[in-house]
Amino acid sequence: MRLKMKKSHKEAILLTIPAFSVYTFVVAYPLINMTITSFCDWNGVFGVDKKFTGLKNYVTFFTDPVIGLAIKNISVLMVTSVIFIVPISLFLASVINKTFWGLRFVKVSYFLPVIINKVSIGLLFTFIFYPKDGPFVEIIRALGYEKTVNVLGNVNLAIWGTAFVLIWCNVGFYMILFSSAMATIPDELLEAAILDGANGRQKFFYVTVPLIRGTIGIAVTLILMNAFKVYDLIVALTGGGPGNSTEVLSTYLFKNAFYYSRFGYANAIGVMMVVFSLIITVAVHVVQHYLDME
Amino acid sequence: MKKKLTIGKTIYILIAIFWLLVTLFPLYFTVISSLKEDAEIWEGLISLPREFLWENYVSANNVANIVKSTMNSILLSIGSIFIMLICVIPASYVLARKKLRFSAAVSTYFLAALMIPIHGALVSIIQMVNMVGGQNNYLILMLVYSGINFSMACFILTGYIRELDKGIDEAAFIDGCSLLQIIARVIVPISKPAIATVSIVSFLNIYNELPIANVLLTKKGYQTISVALLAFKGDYQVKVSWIFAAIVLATIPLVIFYLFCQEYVEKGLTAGAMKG
Repeated sequence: MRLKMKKSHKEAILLTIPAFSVYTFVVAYPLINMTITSFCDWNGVFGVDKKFTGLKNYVTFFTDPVIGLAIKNISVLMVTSVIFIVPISLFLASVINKTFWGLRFVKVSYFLPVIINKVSIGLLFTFIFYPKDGPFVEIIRALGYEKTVNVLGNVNLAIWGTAFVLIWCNVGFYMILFSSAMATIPDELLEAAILDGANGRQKFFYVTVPLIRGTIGIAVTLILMNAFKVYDLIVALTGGGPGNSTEVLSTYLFKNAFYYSRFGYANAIGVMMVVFSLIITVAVHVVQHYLDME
Repeated sequence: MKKKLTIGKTIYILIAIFWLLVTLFPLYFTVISSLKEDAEIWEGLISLPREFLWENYVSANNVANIVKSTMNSILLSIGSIFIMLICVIPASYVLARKKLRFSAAVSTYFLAALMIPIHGALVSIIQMVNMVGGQNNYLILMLVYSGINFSMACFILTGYIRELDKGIDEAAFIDGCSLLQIIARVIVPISKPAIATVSIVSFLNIYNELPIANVLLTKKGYQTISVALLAFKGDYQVKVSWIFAAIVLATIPLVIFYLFCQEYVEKGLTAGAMKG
């Protein structure tokens, strides 16, 4: 038996090796390399030495006006996402947890944007916001605003257009998240509420929502992280423009690497993105813990 | 049982319908516009095409290689998932049953990427692939994609295997099965739901992946669907209706995939996200 255990331990090591090596090369090594390169000046050409420059890239990070803009834009995306996605998806979750004729159609429709390729969605919305006769312009015209508006071409409006598209394509996901959390609520609790004379709305706000608080907390973390790392959608929608008005950290990171060949700086942005994401996750946990205490 | 329609309820239904329209209109607009002449698109935003111009689809495919790119994306996704499962299933089993002396440390190492978001390191990953000359090389790209989804897969699979009854595989062990045999004959068959979840989440991630593919797949015939679609951005030579047609073509496989395994996609995506 002893011998067999020993043999099986050897085999266990062998079985872990493929996973270990792929993970080390594809994930761990780049993360370490990113951190090292972030302290260097490098144009991305192999054979050219990385020049150690200490904290220079990080100093640039905190003084670069585009970074300030990117952080402001990300904040707009994060805040609007949380403010709109949570209530809308809670509402939709309550809709699809009812039974009615056509439920499957409604559920599928609400969810569809989640799975569609984000590049498709970006391209598609450039036409929804088409300045001359696009659907958006027609709608606000119907509402009585006579001027044409170029949402995605306007320095002040583009980020709000982007925020809308981001909300549009993510709501369905959180709807499913909330609806499966709601399905776990025991029927007795809801029946008890009805016996106590609660109407539908009271039942929802005083029984359902408090009971899925944990899921809402997770959802907020996910929403913030998703808004924080949004890339595909912005590239397809605005490309970070006009000017840098919809630039976010991920698009700026790629621009620095592959347009300006500033790999050291790009990697410093990468490191800072990791740091910020960790801060966001921890912050949400702390806030939730604090709320649970009350 | 007929309930009275109160004002509150009417508003509730109206909001539900409103969001249904907000969701469906852009999709409907895409489909009708894909069959129109360019000028006609902006004349009637909600009207059906006067004449169904199916040739828009042919042109879209000719300009952007949509069908080929879709096949490329599917091939890449399936290959990556295959590699990932081969690596991750044995490792997950070993870790879930603590077969290693240092299981806990390896687990922490594997799951670290869940805590550390990988997207910041994308440039670094691309650099590494460039270093080994991996542009336009599907095998290397598959390794990268499998690595990116690795932590999520490992987390879900170890969680699932840990919940399984230990008696099943211990009996097989005493009967003289090697660990690999136990994994292939016992663990894989009973872990199908978890494997399906992991595969579906990875499929959607890889099929829709943009930044890595965009930099590393430079040869035309190698492009994935996201890269092919992005080529339309800022290209004012092509007709708008062709772009719409390309979007529809690119979306059809995803919709079919979703409708066929709706439950799995919904459960899988939420399970994949709840990993944190």
